[in-house]
Amino acid sequence: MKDDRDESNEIDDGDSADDRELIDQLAMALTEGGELLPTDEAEVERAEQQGVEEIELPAALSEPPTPKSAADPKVADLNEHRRRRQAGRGWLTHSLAVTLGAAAAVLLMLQWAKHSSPRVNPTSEPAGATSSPPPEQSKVELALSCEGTCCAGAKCKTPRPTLEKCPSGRRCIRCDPGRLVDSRYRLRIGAFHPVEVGNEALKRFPQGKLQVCVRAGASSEVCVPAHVSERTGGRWTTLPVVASGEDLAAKVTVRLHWKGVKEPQATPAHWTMPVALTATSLCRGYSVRFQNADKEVFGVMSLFMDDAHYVELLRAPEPAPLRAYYKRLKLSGLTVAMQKTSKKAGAQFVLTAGPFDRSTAEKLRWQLLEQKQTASVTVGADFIGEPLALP
Amino acid sequence: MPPPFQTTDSPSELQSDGELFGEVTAADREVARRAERVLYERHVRYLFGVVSRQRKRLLLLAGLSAEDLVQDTFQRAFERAASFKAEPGLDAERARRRTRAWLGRIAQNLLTDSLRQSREIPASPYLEQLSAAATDGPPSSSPHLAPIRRALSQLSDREQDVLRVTALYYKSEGSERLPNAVSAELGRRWGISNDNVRAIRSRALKKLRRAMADQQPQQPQEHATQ
Repeated sequence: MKDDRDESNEIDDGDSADDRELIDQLAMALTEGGELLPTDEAEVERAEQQGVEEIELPAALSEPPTPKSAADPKVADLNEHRRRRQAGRGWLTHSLAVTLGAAAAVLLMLQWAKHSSPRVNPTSEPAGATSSPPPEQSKVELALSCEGTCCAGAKCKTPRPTLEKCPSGRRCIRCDPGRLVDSRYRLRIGAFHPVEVGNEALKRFPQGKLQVCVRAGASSEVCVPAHVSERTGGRWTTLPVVASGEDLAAKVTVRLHWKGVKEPQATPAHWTMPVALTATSLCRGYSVRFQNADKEVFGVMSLFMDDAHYVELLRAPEPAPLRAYYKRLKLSGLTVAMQKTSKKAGAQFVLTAGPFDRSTAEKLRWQLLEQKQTASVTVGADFIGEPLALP
Repeated sequence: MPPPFQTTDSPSELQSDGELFGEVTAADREVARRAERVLYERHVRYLFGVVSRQRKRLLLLAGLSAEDLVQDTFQRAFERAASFKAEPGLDAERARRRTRAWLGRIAQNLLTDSLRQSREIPASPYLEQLSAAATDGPPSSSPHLAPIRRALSQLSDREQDVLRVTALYYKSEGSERLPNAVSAELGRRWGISNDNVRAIRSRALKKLRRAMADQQPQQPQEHATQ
């Protein structure tokens, strides 16, 4: 039991003079490194010089705190203020989600349809564990919004000037570089557009034999047809690989490859670069400029890094339990889908939301756990085909 | 002496923070609210910047988000505007830094207050959340910080947490010891006894000292600066 009067009683461990010197050093070091708040002029000056103000403000900080009413005590209860703010945010989140929910649902379904290549050969992370049916039958709420620190996308209230709309199709990109690097990504490539040198080469070899092969960091190389895939029927091809942020940041190598031709002719051009995970790169993607051995530009191709984390709400051997669970969901700002998996027996169907970045997926998982529901975050390694219809 | 109130419709950017804090205490709520807004817009980006680069683990331990801490800090600053002491004759840069240092002290006190408070946080989700947040951004590359950070990184997460909280209280209250209420609260959240928290802290300090000593032969020039 905690007693505030005990605050004067202190822990006494070891030689306090030595401890004091060490902790003094530690506090100085942590302050200097930005881990403790600057509390004097010199520390503030150092922080300013380190550019701490070059940060995007989250929507929650767009307005000053709510003023206290005349009836409030001089020193208000901050917990009460916080509860009121959170209630306000909840309302805002709900309103925003209701407004954007339908659009997000359509977008997600369309994206899913585009990304219908089989999700095989992931570089990491096993398929999500089979979950048991949720024990309770009450409504389950799941809400997603673009509040917080965002830097790009149509749903972001505070986008950087050139990142209001993203060619990648993303609608909400967070600013935090640590969060971006911590995620995993599916790579999506556009059509290959040869320039003069590439066109000459294409005349010598049949186009149908040209492949794009991609390797991210330490992952294994995957190859797909260079032009629009017949299978996806669209302009984009999602590669059957899930790359970590670290792998992308280390180095991405994309090479053109003539199938059935021996090296060195088999690789007419390539592109190698560390892929920085920033709001800009996730919004706009990369323009891959292939070069041949003579450093001539061979052709160009777009490369996007898509989110790869799914929240799995429930797995079951047949769709019926998933549909029943779906009816219990009260969704706001996101949609869920039913997906068939490659499992031959057992939990062949899964109810999922996503894909998201890892942090968002974890937040959604927590929303479910807090409502005593089972949930896991996976990269959908065993998902096959397009999502199945839900009522 | 309270500063004269500015009566223009839009508060001038030339008004000092001292003048604006004076207006925050005005009986006219419109004037006060306008002054609050100018102060907020002047400093919120800075405060959010310094709060955001803190360890996420520390904010999680306190049960706060960066946004909450920033808003709470301004809330408290406005409530205590009368205690803001403007120093006449300071140039604009120094005056700004004094204000920000004051805001920093308020935020720090709110953080330590939050760590002291007992909250109903279920142990298991809390620990998982902490684990999920263990991926803070890259540490500062300050050469002064390097040896002690290297030493700190050799400790377990829990040992690091205890030492960070210790450093926070040392900076806030000048005592190298953790208040009992805080160690009890840490123990409660970790599902261990207060004695165990004390033992972790003691062991962490010894390991930190040893790890720093081990670095000395390899890093003589860095230690020479300390």
